[in-house]
Amino acid sequence: MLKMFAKLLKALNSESDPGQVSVAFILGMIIGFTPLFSLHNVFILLLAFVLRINLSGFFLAWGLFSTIALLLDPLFNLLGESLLTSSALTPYWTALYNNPFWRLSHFNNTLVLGSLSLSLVLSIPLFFVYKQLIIRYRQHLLKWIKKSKVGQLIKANKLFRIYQSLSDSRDSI
Amino acid sequence: MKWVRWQGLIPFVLIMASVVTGSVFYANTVLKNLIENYGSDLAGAEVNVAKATLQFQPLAFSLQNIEVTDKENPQQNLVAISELKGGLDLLMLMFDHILIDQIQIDGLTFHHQRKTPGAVFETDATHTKALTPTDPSRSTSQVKGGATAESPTAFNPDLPNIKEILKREPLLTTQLANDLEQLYQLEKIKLKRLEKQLPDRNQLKDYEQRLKKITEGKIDSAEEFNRRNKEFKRIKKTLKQDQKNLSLAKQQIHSSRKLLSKRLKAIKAAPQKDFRALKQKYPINEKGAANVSRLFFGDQAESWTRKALYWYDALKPFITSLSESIDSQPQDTSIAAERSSGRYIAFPLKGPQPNFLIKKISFKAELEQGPVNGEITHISNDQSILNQPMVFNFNSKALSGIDSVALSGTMDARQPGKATTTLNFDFKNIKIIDLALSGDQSLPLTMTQANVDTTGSATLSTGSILSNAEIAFKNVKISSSAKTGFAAEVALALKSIQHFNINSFITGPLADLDIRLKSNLDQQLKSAFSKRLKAKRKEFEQKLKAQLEEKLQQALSKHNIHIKDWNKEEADFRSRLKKLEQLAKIELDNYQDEQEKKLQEKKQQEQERLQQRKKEKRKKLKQKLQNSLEGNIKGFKF
Repeated sequence: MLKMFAKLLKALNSESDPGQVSVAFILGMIIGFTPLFSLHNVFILLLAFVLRINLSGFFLAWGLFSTIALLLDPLFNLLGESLLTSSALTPYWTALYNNPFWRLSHFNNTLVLGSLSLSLVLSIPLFFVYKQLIIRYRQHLLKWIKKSKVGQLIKANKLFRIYQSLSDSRDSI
Repeated sequence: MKWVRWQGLIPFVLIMASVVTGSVFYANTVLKNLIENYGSDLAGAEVNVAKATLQFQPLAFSLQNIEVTDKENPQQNLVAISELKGGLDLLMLMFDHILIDQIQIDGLTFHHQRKTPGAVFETDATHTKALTPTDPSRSTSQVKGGATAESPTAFNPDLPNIKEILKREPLLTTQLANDLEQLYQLEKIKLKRLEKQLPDRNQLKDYEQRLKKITEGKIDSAEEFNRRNKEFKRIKKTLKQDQKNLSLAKQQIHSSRKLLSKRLKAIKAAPQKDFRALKQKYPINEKGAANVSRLFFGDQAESWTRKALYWYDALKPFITSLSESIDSQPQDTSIAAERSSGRYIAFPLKGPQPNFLIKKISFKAELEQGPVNGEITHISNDQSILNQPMVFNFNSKALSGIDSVALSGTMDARQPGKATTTLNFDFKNIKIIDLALSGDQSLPLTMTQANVDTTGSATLSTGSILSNAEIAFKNVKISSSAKTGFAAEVALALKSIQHFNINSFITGPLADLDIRLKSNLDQQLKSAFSKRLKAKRKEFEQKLKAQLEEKLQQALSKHNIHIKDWNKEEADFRSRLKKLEQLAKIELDNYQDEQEKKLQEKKQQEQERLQQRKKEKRKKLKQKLQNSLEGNIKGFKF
C-alpha cells in the first residue's frame, strides 16, 4: 500500500503528463463507483491497462471510490430508478432491453445505471479539476514542501526512503 | 506524448484468462452447491448430489446420484436419480435465463433407504402435516355413501340388542308411566289428607250407639229431654261435618280414579308409538346392503386418495414455487430489491422467454412393481409468458400385476393464483389377489381373485379436488372364513357375482374430502339380502313389541290395582256416607208433644176400650135377648 502510494507521489512529482494521472483517477472512480461484475468494467479495465496512465493512481482511486460508493449507493439507486422509470426514456430503454448486448450490461439495474451515469457525468469536469490540481500541486506545493522544514522531516521517514529507492531503481533502469 | 501502451494488453488478457479458468475450475462445485441448496429449499429436506459436471462445448450439465430426503422419513429418499443430463442455452444463460432443451433422467427410484439420515428443514409452520401413504392421521373418513357412513358392524344383520335399545332410547311408554306414577302419588297425598278427617266404622258405630241411647228409653222429665236434645244436636252437627268431609273425599277419589284411568288409557297407545319410532330408528332393511360397495371399497378409495394426496403434498413445494414465481414476477415490474445491489427493472420484450424453461424431461423410473417411462414438457416458472401448461405423461406396460398403466395430465398456472392440475388415468387389467374387503370379525371377506380396469380423471384447483373414476371388476372370486351366520350367507351371495362396476366421485377441499361410491354390486346383493332381512325384521319387531308390552303391563298392573283400591275405597265412603245419612235422619221428639201424644193414645185406648165394652155389652144383651126369646118360644109349644 505504501509502495503504491509512493508510486503515486512519484507520478505526481514526476514530469509525466497531469492528464494521464487525471484519467487514471477518472477510470478508478468509474470502476469504484459501479458494481464490479458489470460488463462495462471489463472495458474500463482494458482502458486502464492499454492507456498510458498511472496504474497506481488507478488502483488507489478504485479503492478510494469503492469506499465512497458505499455511502453513495442510495443516491445511485435513486438516480438509476428515476432514469429507468422515466416515461420519456422508456422507448429507449425498451430498445436497449431487447438487445442482447445491452441486456448483458445490466443497464436495467438501478445501481449500475445510476452509478455509471453519475460517474460518466462527473468524469469530464473532474478530469479538468484533477489536472489543474496536479499542475498547481507541482507549481506551488511541491516546491514549498521541498524547501520547508516539514519537507526535510519527510525526507527522513520511511515513505520517503521507499520513494527514493523507487526513484533510484528507475534511474538505474 | 503517447497515450497507448500496447503491452498493457498482456496483463489484461492474463487477468481475464485467470477469471475464466477459475470459473471453469470451480463451476462443478458451484453447480453442485447451487442444486443442493436450491433443491433443499424446495423439498424442505436435504438434497444431495454426488457429482456435478459442467461441459462448455456445447454447454451441458450432468448430475450423478441425486438424493432427495423424504422429510417425513429422513431415513429414506423421497426420490433418487442415478443420472440426470441436460443441455443449456449459453446465450440465454448470459441473460439470466435457464433454457434447457431436454433433460434425460435415468434410474429414478422412490423411497429407497439412505446411507445416512437426511436433514429436514421444514420451516413453514402453517404447512399441514404431510402424509405417508398409510398415515391414518389425515383422515378422509368423510366417506359418504348413499346413506350415512357406517362402520362395518352397522352392516351386521344380527338383531340389535332390544334391551340395550330400550335402556338407551327415551321411550314414551316409560315417560308416561313415570308421569302416571307421579300423578298417583299426588292424588294419594290429597286423599290421605282428606281421609284423616273422615269417621271410620268404629266412629260410626259409636255415633249409632250414642243416638240410640239418646232416642230410646223413657224421658221422665223435661230436664231429661233437654239434656238428651242437647247431646243429640251435638252429634248431629258432627255427623253433618263428617258427611260433608266424606262427600268431599268421595268426590276426590272419584276424580282421582277418573284421572288415573284416563292416563292409563293414554299409556296404552304409547308402546305402539314407541314401536313405530324405534322401528324407524333401527331399521333392518336392504339399505345396509345398498352401502356394501362403500363398506367394502370405501377404505380402498380412502387409501388410494391418501396416496395421491401424499404425492401431491410431496410435489406441492415445487408446484407452489412455480406458481408463486408467476405471481411475484409480473411483466414490467421489479425482480429483486436489495440495498446496494440495485433493482432490476424489466421492459417489454419482443419475443419474451421465461426465466426458467425445461422443454422436455424424459425419465425411466424403477418402481417396486417394475419400470415406468415418463415425459414432462414445458416446465417453466412463468407459464404466462410461455403460454403453455406443463404436460406430463407416464406409462408402463411392464409392471407386475397389471397389463398397462397410463397417466397423463397438465399443470396449468398461466393465470396467477388459479393453478389447475388435471390428471387422467387408465389402468388395464390390474390383477387382484387376496384383497381383504372387510377386516371386520363379523364379516371376514376376501377377494381372492379379480381383474380390474380403471379409468378416470381428477382436477385439482385452488385447494379443491373434483375426481371421478370407473372401476370394472371382472372374474371376481370372493371367499369368507365364516362358515356359519350371516357372513357366510353374504359370502354365498357374493359367490354368484362375477363382475360388477364401481363409480367413485371425490369432491371438496383436500382437508375435507367427500368420497362417494356407487356400484351395481349393491343392487345384486340387495335382492340376496332382502329375504333374509325380512325374517330378521319380523323377529326384531316381535321382540320389540313384546318388550314394550311388558313395560306397559308393568305400569298398567300396578295402577290398575290402585284403581281397584280406590274403587273399593269409594264404595266404602259411599256406605259410610249412607250410614251417616241414616244416622242423620234420626230425630228426638219434643217432650210436650210426646206427653200429648201419650194422652191422645190413652184417650184413644180408653175410647177403644169403651167401644169394646159397649160391643161386649151389646153382644151380651143380644145373647140374653136371644136366650129369652128362645125360652119363650119353647113355653108356647105348637
